[in-house]
Amino acid sequence: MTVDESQDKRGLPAVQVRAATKVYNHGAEDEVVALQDIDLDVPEGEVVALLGPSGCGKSTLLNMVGGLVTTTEGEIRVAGSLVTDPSPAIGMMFQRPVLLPWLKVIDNVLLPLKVQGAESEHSQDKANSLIELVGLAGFAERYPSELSGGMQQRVAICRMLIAEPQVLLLDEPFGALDELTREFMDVELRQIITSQGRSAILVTHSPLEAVFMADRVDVMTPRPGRVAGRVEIELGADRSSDLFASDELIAYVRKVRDLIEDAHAEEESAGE
Amino acid sequence: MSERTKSALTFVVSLTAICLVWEYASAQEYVNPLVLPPPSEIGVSLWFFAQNFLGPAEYWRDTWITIQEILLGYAIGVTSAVVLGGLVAEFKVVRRVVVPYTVALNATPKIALAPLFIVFFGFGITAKVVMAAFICFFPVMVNTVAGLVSADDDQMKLMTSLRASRWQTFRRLKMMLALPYTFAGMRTAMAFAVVGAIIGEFFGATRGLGFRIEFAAARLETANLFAFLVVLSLVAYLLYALIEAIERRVVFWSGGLQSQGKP
Repeated sequence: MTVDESQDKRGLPAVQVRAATKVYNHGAEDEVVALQDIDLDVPEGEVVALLGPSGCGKSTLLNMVGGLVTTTEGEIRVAGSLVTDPSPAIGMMFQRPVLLPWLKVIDNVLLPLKVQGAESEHSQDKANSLIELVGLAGFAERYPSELSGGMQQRVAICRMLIAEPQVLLLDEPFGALDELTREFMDVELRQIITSQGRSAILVTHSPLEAVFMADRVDVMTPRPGRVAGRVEIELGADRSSDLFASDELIAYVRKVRDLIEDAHAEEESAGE
Repeated sequence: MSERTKSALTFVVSLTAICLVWEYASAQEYVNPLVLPPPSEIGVSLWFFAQNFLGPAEYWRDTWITIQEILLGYAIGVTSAVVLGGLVAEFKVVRRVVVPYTVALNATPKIALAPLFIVFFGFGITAKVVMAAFICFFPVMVNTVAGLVSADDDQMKLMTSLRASRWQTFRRLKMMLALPYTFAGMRTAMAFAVVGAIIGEFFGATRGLGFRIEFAAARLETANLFAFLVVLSLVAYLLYALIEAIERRVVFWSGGLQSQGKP
């Protein structure tokens, strides 16, 4: 990359989605339009939540940004570069921890570096400090089966962060956890994202989680998947668990819910 | 008393009871002792073996030959099954070529091929090794393939998102996922290898435990026959236990899977 190029990219959003369309079985009789003309920007250092019911294409969109699913039309840029394959600028987290049971916690965390042959003498220290950061100090030498679901997701957080990706893609990361644990994890993950200055896209179907985690919530509707409305969440960058019960947050949740209901009503009337 | 001691004690008591009833039935000549010798006589045979085992007698050599046939056949069968299983799982072309034959051969009772191997390889150790390898091959191959293709969508997505190459994905994910399956096959294969070696010996041998068993049967030395059976069972049990111990160490993260594949 030349100096000029990097200067060009300064100030660009971390993620830029332009008129992205995804059609499955394109041209065939059973053609399905999963996503239609999606425009989406994730500003540097911000978290955008994609909120919507199952089947609205939010996970597909996330996988497209991650380079795991091809885009039928339109283009997607991550850190200024066109996405064709998975980019090193991206770290992903799934609904399940997907840890490798034969590797110790520390080796699971180091997996991205090992796969890319990017392990250095500092890797071990880096992994250990991440493990400490998520509150798993003393568990580095344990195996995943010895950890609870919440602890396993913490290991997945470390694995996502170890290669220092700019953009985090979070696909319902705590969807499989109980609600109390999930709120707790939300708080921690939001703090890590903010303190490390990362950008993120969060896919969720919980309005509460979306509002708490994100700087902007994009409400999506299905058939075909599109963005029905956006709510800017001005709750500041630093968010603590107190926020969950605050009036401001509840007000935003209500706003988001109204958007969802409007979109739903519109869809109903359009169907008639 | 621990569960283990209880089980061991129960076994000793029940074995003693069976032996006593058997001994009594034999002494009363409810059964012809020529057909079913009393346990005491088998014990005498075993004692005689034990004395001669370390001496110049043939029995140790017979046992050793059978063990060699089993282990050589096992090693060859397992190795080729793992290699071919890997190729079948990774390359569609290989799969299309190989799978019809393995399906057909797996359905064939493999011991039916023993006479053919004698024709091919003669009465030496080779025919027995080939028989053991052949019969070992299928459970290991079938299980290895099943394990290699067992990666779920999330696991594949993880490797793709980490930009893992095909080889990386194979080595760091698929191969490790396959290990518990392969070991399940290897456990079954260990039992099969013993069957293969013995069947091979039945169809023509001048040495080995299978040969001794057949020889004793032909001469109606039933007590000796039983004694050889006991030795053979012990060998088979120890080999199986060895594989199980290795399995527990290598695939410590897995609870131990059930195997597929027929003898």
